[in-house]
Amino acid sequence: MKQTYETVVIFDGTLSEETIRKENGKIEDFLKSNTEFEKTDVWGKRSLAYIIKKKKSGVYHLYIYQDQSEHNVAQKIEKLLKLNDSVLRHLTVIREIPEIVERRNRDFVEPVEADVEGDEQ
Amino acid sequence: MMNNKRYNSRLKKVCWFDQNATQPDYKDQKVVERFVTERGKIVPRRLSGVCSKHQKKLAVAIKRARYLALLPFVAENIR
Repeated sequence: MKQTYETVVIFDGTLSEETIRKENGKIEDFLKSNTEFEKTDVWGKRSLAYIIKKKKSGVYHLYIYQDQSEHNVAQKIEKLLKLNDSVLRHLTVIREIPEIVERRNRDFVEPVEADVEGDEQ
Repeated sequence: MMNNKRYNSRLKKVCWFDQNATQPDYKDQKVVERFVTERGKIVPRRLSGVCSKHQKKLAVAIKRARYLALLPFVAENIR
């Protein structure tokens, strides 16, 4: 069955932009040759909520691609990223909500509490 | 009298995700953040009013966000 996957990769924030571009290219090449690659969403440099491998910041990249689930892409990309020293963390999941990336910075309404059974006395 | 009012009036909370017609997602840092206490714990449904369908998804989203260091497992520097 064809599935859409998304992989978030956190590169080491202390690396130069050029190295990150190179590593990004490697991953994109792998995805382009093995899957139906859709796009890369670069979130940019962010400070990490906790220290990973003694690093305080990371560069977040989101890769979106499609493939047949029988091909086990998740396992293959796991192999690729696990051995890569410039990658701090990575997470591959099946994509559920396609439009959420575009809405990431949308403003939402504040939570409202509706007074249903208010006894005024 | 004031005390009575507090007990008598029941506030029916509305699920935030239903209101906004959206789904919990680990990439939505701003959204996921608001369902976590300042200690970094997941806010229970009875306090946040999120419906059970979305609370389940929210819990998964928070755990994924923690793994990606978007949220802390344990909040530090709180005193």
